[in-house]
Amino acid sequence: MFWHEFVYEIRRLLRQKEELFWVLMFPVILGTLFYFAFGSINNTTENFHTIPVAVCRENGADNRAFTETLTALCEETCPPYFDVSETDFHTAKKMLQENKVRGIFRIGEEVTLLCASVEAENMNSTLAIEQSILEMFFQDYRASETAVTELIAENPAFAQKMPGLLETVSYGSPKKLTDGNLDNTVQYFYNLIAMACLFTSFAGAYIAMNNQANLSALGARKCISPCRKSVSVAAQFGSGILTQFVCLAVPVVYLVYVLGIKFGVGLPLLFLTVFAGCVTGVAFGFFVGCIGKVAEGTKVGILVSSSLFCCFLSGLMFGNMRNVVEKFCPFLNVINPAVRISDSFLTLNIYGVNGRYFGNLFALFLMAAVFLAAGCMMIRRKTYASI
Amino acid sequence: MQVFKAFFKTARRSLPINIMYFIIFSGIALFLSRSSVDTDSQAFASVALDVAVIDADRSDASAALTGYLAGIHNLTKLEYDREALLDRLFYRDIDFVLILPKGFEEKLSGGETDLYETMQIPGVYSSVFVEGQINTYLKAVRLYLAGGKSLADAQSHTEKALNAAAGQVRVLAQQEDGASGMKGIYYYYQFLPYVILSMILSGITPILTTFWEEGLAKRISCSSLGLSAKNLQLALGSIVYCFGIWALFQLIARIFYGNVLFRETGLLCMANSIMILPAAAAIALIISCFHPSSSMVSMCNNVITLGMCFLCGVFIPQQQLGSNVCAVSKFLPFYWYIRNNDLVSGFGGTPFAGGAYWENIGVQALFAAALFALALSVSKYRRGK
Amino acid sequence: MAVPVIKIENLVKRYKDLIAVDHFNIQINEGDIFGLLGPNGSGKTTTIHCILSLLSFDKGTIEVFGETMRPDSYELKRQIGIVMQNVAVFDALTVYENIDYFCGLYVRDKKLRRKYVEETIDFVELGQFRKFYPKKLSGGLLRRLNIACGIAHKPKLIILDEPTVAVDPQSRNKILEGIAELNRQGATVIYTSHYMEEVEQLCTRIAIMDHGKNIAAGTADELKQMIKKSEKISIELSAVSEADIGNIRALPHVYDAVFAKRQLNIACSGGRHNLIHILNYLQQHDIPFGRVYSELPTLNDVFLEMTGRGLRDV
Repeated sequence: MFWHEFVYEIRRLLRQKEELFWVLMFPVILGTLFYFAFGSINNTTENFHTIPVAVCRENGADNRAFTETLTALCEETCPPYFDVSETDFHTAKKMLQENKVRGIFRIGEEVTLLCASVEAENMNSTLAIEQSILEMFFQDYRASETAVTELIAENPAFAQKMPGLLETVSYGSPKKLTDGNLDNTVQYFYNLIAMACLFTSFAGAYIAMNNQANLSALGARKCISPCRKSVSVAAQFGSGILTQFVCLAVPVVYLVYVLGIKFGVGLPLLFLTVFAGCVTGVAFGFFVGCIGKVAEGTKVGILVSSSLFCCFLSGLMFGNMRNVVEKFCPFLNVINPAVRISDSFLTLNIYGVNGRYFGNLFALFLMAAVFLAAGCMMIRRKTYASI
Repeated sequence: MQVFKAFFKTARRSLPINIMYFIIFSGIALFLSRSSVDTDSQAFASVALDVAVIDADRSDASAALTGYLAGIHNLTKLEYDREALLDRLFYRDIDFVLILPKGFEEKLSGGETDLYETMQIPGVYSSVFVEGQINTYLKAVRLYLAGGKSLADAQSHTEKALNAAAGQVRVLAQQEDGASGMKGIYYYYQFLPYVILSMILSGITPILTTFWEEGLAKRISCSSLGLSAKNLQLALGSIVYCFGIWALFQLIARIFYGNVLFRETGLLCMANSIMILPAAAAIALIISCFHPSSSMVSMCNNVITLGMCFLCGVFIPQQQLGSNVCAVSKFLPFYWYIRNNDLVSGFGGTPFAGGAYWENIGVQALFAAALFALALSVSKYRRGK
Repeated sequence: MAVPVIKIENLVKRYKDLIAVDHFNIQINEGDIFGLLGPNGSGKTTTIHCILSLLSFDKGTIEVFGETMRPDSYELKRQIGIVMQNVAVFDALTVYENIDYFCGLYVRDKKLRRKYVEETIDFVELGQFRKFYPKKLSGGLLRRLNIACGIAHKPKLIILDEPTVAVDPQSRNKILEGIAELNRQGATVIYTSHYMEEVEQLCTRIAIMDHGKNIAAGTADELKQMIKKSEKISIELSAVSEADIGNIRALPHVYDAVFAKRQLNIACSGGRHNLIHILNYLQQHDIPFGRVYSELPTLNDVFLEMTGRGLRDV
């Protein structure tokens, strides 16, 4: 009986080509759009690029210490800190206004730095941080200059000790963080897959509706057959998860191999996570499908909006949403399946398989079990008050 | 007006999802308007990043260094928890983690060079910036120490010197644009296209689909109601629906932001947002021509709304999108909407210009017209089949 | 002694204020084609749903094959075939697959199932449509598929709930013949309809339902004998005097005579030669007449007399 249901359910699901196409294409299309939208974001906004600056020498003034420091930063570091254009102040100002340079070093009696003003709204823009780095360099130079002047004034012999101390070196060492991908735009893809997983809930809802006498004529017919509801639901559940999983595996392969999104982990573990997501999604849909006598359209509406809302909270639209939720209502993150799915991907990426990953999988399966149990409780009712 | 009435009776079906959208969006708007802070930015201010410090040394020297950094950045003192820190780094919830190990003070006064550890995203601006600052600070402290100062003296001198240098950075004067206090409104209008498009697509598409559905379409076309009259009523229904949603959100804006909304910039935002409606309605019309099922409608809606909003800079500011993305999204109406919104708010860095604003409105109108033409030809083609 | 297949006693089912089934009693015996006749909304489908334990009911007992039917009475369910009022088939499965699927819910043995499915396809004559999807079938064919899905497992008890609604006459006759054939093969059939002709033609025993009550039960002839009227005679006339009508009313067995629209309608109860008596009277009194019709009473007349309403004018 189980296999009979299972095979026929798969056959039915596979016949609904249009629906399958959408389950499959929806992440592919959005993933491609994401790829183009985010492909270069971090490269343009976050990754350090050489900063263009103008240097103006007033009346041919020269400041050897400054020039040497600047040249060192331009030539010895990779990528170079600054790209220097030497020009007169008038041109430099124009370049600054046109955003061709980020700041102007004026070398006169002393060195000054001139930057464009940045509005409060734009304080997290690339321009602002580039200017801040200029400022940092400027401070470095000026503070050293001040210190040296003060110290030589106190003790002229200090000049001999000085040179080694003036070199710009790093006094710290970065810890190795992970072998994974630290580019945070990958989290949009996590959430995209999470959304696709939650959208498998449509399939779950149909399972519920097809098995309930008061929701469809087919359900009524099923109810009076000698096939146990538990067997029938289990079989359809299994086949639903299987087909949905296969439909999601294709986009995942596409994301990894065609778009080259770096998930930081191999396909088997990605698939395992997607599978857990599918189980939760289908179970969630099943649960919603079991809710009383509500029109199909309304149920689909509930599914769409709740799936989207979960993904919104998990950071599908605004990447940092999850942390905002963490601050105000951390429990929401614990029970949000989209967060659990995307956190599984994150864990795999950064830490590899560990307790937290299994914790996430466990949470997903637990949620699925709760939804399934709650749904079954609702349709377990033997007879209906009205059909 | 039978068709018109039926339009709104059918509309009740998509009420739950639209209420959901509405509540979520209003919540976000409230959240954004509360988090908007008006900072005055006349003098040069460096970027304040989110820096976490793990101070295992707990010495005067480490306190002085963290104190200095706290003056610039949003500093949080945390215990070392690799996973928690790494998670927050990944989400850029913190930009940089500074770890001052035990013995920091001794090493510093002993002239050693291996002083601290960091957790940072390699090769990004914020890492370069914060690490550079720390190195600058330590370099100056070492200079003063070498010059014979005590550690405490060296640190206070360093801080003074650095602050003095920061005070000397000049800012190129720019014209005032008087847009302060309206940040919340811009965010509101920035995000508005997503919600309006979602609500219009999930609201109108199923209704129109119902009316195009073969049996019903034939039945209506057999009735004494002319085709043009039917279409006119449907169009009227759509227009009322769209404007209803639009008006609702203007009302919400008014409630959240008060009468500031009716100043010039606010009005420009409002006028701009009207242009979302025709494009959204045309897209709904196109989808409905393909008689999609209810779950397909939601799939289509998601692909279109999310795709368009991501590409056009609704969620991510346009300046951050790559130029190749913008080259593509120029062919989408929302790109011009966001451009206008940026223009009005000054987000894009360009000063407001009336000509450019109306040009963008014009481009949106052209897009709407093109989409409608496409919708009509698609519907004609589908009907011919 | 007839073996009862279904026995319903004092069944009451309420939907809030509406009493859908009101102290309903019925016994259906093995080998019957039992017709449940009643206008729309009289509680036929509700009764069927109660029998199948799809619906909960407020009072009464229902026994199927001598056992109380429960939602988990799987062995009982195995012996029942049901054809619902609404077509309940999967759009994504072909004709063959639909029948095979539903048959498979009852029959585990694969070989046997294949045989049953083939027989059923032949039985409903859908052989040339076996690869068709339900959406491509016309209304009549779809109804036949619906029936096939319900009976493929050769149940002992077949319940058909208005299987001929919206079916063309040709398909309808095929369906009715098929049901009679199933009965000949040994199945007990319960057939609900509001088409009295069908019920009269097909059923061996009939119960008439109205407002949830069983108002009469028996064979068609028994039912007809329950009412006064046994023959209706209509005569085309150009004119007749009130006195003549009075005289006709006074004839033996005639209990009503009405003249309207150039037609004299006479209702008779019992008696053998009513027509001859009447025609003789007309001839004797030189009343010229045109065509003459004599009709035996129908179930509609039974219903009309018992409820004061026609079956169709509800």
